[in-house]
Amino acid sequence: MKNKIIFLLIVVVLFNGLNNSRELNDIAIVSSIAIDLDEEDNYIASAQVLNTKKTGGLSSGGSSSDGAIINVYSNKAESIQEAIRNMVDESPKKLYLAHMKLLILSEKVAKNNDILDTLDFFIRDNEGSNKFILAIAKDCSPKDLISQLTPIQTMPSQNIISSITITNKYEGISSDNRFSDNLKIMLEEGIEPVFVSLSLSGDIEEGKSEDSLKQTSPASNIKIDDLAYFKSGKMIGYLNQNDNMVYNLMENKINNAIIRVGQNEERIVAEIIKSSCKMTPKLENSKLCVDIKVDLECNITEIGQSKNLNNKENINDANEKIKDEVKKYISKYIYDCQHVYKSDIIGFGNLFYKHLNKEYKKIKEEFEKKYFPNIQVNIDVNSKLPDEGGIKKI
Amino acid sequence: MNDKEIKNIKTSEDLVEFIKLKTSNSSDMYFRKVNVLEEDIYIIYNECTASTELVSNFVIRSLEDISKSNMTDEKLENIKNNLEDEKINKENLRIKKKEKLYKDLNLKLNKINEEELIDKIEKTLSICKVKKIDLKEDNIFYYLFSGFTLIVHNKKILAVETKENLDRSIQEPITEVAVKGPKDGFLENFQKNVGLIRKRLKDEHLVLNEKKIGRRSKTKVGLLYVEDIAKKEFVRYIEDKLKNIDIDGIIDSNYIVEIIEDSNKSDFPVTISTERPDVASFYLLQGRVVIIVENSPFAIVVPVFMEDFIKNIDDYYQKGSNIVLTKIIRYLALFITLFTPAFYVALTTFDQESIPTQLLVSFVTQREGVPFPAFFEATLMIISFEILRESDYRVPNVAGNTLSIVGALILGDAAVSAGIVSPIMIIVVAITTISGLMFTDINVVNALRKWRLIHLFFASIAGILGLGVSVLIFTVKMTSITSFTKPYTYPFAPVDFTQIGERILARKNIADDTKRQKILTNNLTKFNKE
Repeated sequence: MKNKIIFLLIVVVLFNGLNNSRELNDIAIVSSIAIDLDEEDNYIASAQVLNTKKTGGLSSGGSSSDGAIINVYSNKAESIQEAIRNMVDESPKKLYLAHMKLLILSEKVAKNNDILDTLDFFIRDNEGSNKFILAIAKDCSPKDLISQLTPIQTMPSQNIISSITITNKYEGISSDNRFSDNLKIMLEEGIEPVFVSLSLSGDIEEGKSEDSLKQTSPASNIKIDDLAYFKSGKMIGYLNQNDNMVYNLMENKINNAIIRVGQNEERIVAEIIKSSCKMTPKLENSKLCVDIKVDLECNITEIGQSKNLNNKENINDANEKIKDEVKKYISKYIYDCQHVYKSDIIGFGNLFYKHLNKEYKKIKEEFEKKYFPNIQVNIDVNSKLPDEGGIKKI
Repeated sequence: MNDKEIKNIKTSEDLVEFIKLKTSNSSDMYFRKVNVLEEDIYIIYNECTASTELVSNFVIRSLEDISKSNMTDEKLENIKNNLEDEKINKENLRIKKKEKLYKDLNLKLNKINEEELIDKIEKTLSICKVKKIDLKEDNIFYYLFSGFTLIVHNKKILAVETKENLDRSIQEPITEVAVKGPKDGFLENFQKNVGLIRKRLKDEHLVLNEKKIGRRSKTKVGLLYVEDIAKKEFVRYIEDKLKNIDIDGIIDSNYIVEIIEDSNKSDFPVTISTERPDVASFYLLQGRVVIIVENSPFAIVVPVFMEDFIKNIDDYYQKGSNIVLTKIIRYLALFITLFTPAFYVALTTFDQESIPTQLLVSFVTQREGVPFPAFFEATLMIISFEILRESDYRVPNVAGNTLSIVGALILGDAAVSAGIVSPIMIIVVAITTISGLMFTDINVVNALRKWRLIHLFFASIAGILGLGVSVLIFTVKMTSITSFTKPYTYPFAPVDFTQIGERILARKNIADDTKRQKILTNNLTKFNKE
């Protein structure tokens, strides 16, 4: 009797799972999704589905001529869920979103709609992944972006992800924050998110064909572009070139970045190999103030003629120049944030919220308009050149 | 033989008739009547188990010698003739004296002939193993069919060992292969098997406790243990188990295993059957008990732990520091062989999100066009491999090649081309099977196979959750097994960290390994290291 009850319990527990079972043949793996708005404010969702057909496809290296590596389905509906679900009208398999790597929003969606509202489906869906990267399609249709075939990496979405990660790692620009990290920023007090943007150049139609990959340089190119900054859930614009790098510097996300001081024969090019940035908020004479302390470790990788690095003075000179340049970058970035972008992507508000909570609560309502643009910043840059470079003198 | 039958036997002829009657005149029984010192003596032996050569060379010849040495009358005549030749009449008196002396002697000899002829034969026989048989106590048929020759004189029976050699010579063990180490293996001969162990442990404390088990087979079963290492109560426990066996025949040592096993029904073997005398000696020194069964080249070792099947004697013949990795690989193989198909099915039918995208794409592409669900596909492949393995065991070596070619082609390649199974499933089942075959004991391999299928079934019903349930059941089952009162999963459950550290994952240097295991013996010190 006891055994029977245990057996029944096991059966009940186990057979609950039965309805979740799903064979591999029945799923279409979605690698990226693009979302756009049409004129009537309907969502246009496009899904890039990996082609898993036996001949051709990815398993045989992707170079086979029968069938493209990806298929793109597109659908229009009032809500994103409907638009995506109704793609089964065209697709023979159910779209499986758990492996989505990339979500691309068009500028229109990002600018017109609140981002949390738009992405509600991706936050809520139990089958979804939150490890994707959210990107903005800069001056192009997001559907075109996910329809492009890419060289080198077989899976186009993987290609883009790799590009984003690599630019972040070696150039110090762009942001490889996953959606879950961004979500955290969006839900936090006093800080605005930035998202990576992608731009498309070349022959867009040609880029959708595999013939494009047979050339030495593909017909179309996807480029990692400037970061798009948001304010109150809506996209405003893009950061300027140097601000991309400084954004990462301030976020302590720089692995490697290049800094150039001067031009031509006067040029000094240094590679940042280590960096740390610390921001301390304080009140000075009832004025908001932030101390920014940046520690850098650089490596001179290129230098103009007539520079003798054997000389201590020259090294110190180069070091000073780098310091000044970085300082200039940072102050410009902060000025831009305060007066040009008018968005607290640095997270000053968050800083005061965390460290000077009482004071912040009083001024919370007016912080953005009245206080944020007028925050005083003391920038202190420390730079080290531990290795003067292998060649000291030519 | 009951008393009534024994009472009826009064003369040698009666005994012969009795044997003929009992064996229903079996044609391989051989009876011969010889005359020794004018007494009728019967020689009885079984042609098939006794060596005719030994019987004629040693038994018959010895009897002849006795006859010759006792031909006193002839000798007397000779002496007489000699005396006449010398023509010494004066010494007639002395001759008479001598004559008298010889007569007395002859009289004495004759007496001996009558009363103790059997004793005389026993003394003179040039065969080592001779036994007087009491009809009430000994079973003459056991001796007859063990290859003894019976010498019968007036109800008195002498059994002389004249066994034909029916054994193969000592060969390399087939089922347990060691890369290095001794190459001799047990045989079907009881004495030789004990000898192979005695040869290794020349210790007076090594005790052999022999019993005959089986109403019809009367198989010798020997209990071997080192008296001052093995736990006394454990030896008694095994002795009691053996004492209570009542069966008609013991054909192989597995008969004993199955009878004396603890009552819990376990799929995993709770005894080690080893073909290697070095393994048996190794375990004897740990304080375990070895049971040797006549006619079986497999000695039984009790008690055992699960860990003993993962360990290999070869580990002790190789460099200790390298064994750590070998052992890790073996434990890994244990998990692979138990869980891989289940894990694969659970992931691919329930938890696709936990597979890396590139791998998932590869899986999906490979499964494209396979008409069966993953569970069915896995079961199909596992069963096909099991069929292949089973027939590979049964088929004689000559056909082995054909089998492997057909098996490899059909299972490996054609099944994939035909779209019945996906290549990844072949890989999964292949790695599973290969890992399973790492264990030498066939019982372990079969038990692992059973549990592999159970895990697969649970995983196919409820994915990782189901696998969790079956792992739970498996753990409960495993930890509840006892091997002759000893916990099977020792030293993991009950946990003994020193053992896990010193013996399970790594092997202690032999020079530093001075302690025995507490669970097996009370005599902990192997030797003292200064």
